[in-house]
Amino acid sequence: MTTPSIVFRSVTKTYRRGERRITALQDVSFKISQGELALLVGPSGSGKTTLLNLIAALDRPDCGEIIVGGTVITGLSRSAAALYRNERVGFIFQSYNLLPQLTALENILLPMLPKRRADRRRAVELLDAVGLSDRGSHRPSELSGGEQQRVAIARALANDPAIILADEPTGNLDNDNACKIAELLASACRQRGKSLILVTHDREMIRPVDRVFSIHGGALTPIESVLAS
Amino acid sequence: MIWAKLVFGGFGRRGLEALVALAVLAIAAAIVAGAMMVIKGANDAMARAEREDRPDIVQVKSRFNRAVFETPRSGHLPPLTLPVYEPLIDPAKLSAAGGTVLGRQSLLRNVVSGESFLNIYIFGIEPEKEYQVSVFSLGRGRFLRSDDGAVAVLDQASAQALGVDLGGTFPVRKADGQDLSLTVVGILDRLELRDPPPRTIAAPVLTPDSTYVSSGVFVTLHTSEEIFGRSTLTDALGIAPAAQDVPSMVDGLREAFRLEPGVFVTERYGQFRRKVHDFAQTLAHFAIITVATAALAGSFAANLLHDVYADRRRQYAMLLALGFSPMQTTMVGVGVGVAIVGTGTLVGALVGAACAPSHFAMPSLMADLGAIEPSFNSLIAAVVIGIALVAVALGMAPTAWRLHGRSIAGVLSQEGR
Repeated sequence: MTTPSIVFRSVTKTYRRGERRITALQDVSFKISQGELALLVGPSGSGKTTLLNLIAALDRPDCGEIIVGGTVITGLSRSAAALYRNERVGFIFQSYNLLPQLTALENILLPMLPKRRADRRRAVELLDAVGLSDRGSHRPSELSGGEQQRVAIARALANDPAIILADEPTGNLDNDNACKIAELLASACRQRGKSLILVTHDREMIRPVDRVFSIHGGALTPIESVLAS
Repeated sequence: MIWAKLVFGGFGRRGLEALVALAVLAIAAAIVAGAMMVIKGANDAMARAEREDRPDIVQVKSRFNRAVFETPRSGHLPPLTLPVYEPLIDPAKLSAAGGTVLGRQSLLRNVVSGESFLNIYIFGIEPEKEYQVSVFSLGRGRFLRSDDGAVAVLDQASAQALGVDLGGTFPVRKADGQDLSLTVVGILDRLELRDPPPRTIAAPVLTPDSTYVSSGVFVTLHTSEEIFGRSTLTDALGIAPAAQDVPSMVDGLREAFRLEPGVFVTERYGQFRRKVHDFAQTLAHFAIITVATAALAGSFAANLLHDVYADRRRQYAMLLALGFSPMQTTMVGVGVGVAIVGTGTLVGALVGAACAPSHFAMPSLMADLGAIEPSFNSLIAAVVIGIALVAVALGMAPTAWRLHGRSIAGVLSQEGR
């Protein structure tokens, strides 16, 4: 039996919007094993991004427990959470979130800086792996959307984290580019044995996947459980 | 290199605001540094005036009385009637006014010198106390000590007139008609007696054309009491604990000597206060304008920095999301602010210090205190740096509060809109 990489136990998260209280996640429990590729599908505002934010310790749940790699992350201090994100999580945003003043290569080196171990050779290898070996000195403004998302994928892999979280990484791309990026991401995670949770509207985007979760109104439902062939 | 780009890069359209903040702080630093240098110089001038004028000293002197002392006949010379200060001041009454009392016996004596008489001023003083208010510059020997007996310290002019040198002796006629032989233990190069008596008769002088006594023989008070045969003082100085205590001290002294019309109490505090009052008031206005300038410029710069930081909020949230610690992220933010305000402040302070005139005259008010000399000191540096740091802190506070007080996800989603 594979070791669970991510465990959610009765996690609830609500937001206050003015006088109203909105429930983003309601009593969510699930497990994802190390190396599994999981799709998270659901309509806008269903709680997909909130779930990823909680795994990445970018936010805290109101109640429940989140265990990642054996560590309860819900009680981490801000500094410990930063260290956790840096070492164990790679996050890919829909809007890329590359720093505009840095080149593509420097953006990949960025997650290595907090521990002062900027490995330029590894950054070049990652850039090569995402097919941008000739674009390393370009700034984000000089790259297309697809290229920027490739740089973001390389950045997420920079510290060799066990978990990759991708929040609609193809949302801003055309179909062609979206498929390429999704395939690139999936193959990169498979090759490196990383857990991937990918938020998307299109459940056919990556095949095969290990798990597919559907989320509606903050409630999570596993709708497929297919072992990768 | 990446760290430098993180700190200094990505200003975008806010780069202009950063430059304006830098320029505002440079101008403010120059104005504040320049104004504070003038204030510092002016305060120095006032302190100098206070040091020289000593408004905290109250003078008590007895009436000048002629024809009370007659010299003895000597050889072919007839007896002379010489003016003296009639000692009238009772030391016990002085202490009633409070403060430190410094007693003196200042008398004129004619001393036999060779074949002639020589008029010499003899001062009975309290050596340790007198040294605090008057200037005695010793050329040779030592100064008086309170336990000294028949010894004297005299200035070069009197020594020359008497024909004595260090270790030499000269006789002084006591009130009982006996001679007291004084041994010279010190020769003064320079003498500035605080509130000296007026010069009324030909006698040695150290400062030519002075209307006050500038030369004399100094003995301890108990030696002068032995010479003059009385313990009452001719004059005394009352030193108030602080200049503002002078009026009450004067009142006390006038009350103590109200039945003795021959005793006069004079103070310089009132005159000094009038002299520096307008000056101090102008400086206070100057200081208020400086503080207002600093506050306005600081808040303007803080507002500009706030815009710069607000624009970079998403970048800082991204750094946190990528695993930069809160401290590392804060340092990236502080770095840019300190660089902006530091450059502005340094340039402004240097310009202010370099362009400040070596002499600064405040029209009409400076008549009594003279031109002031602006000067830079560590307090000015601290104030200018303080303004810059407060501007950074105020500019950064809202961003820091949002980043550290809320979830990173919240900041990223809000700033991404």
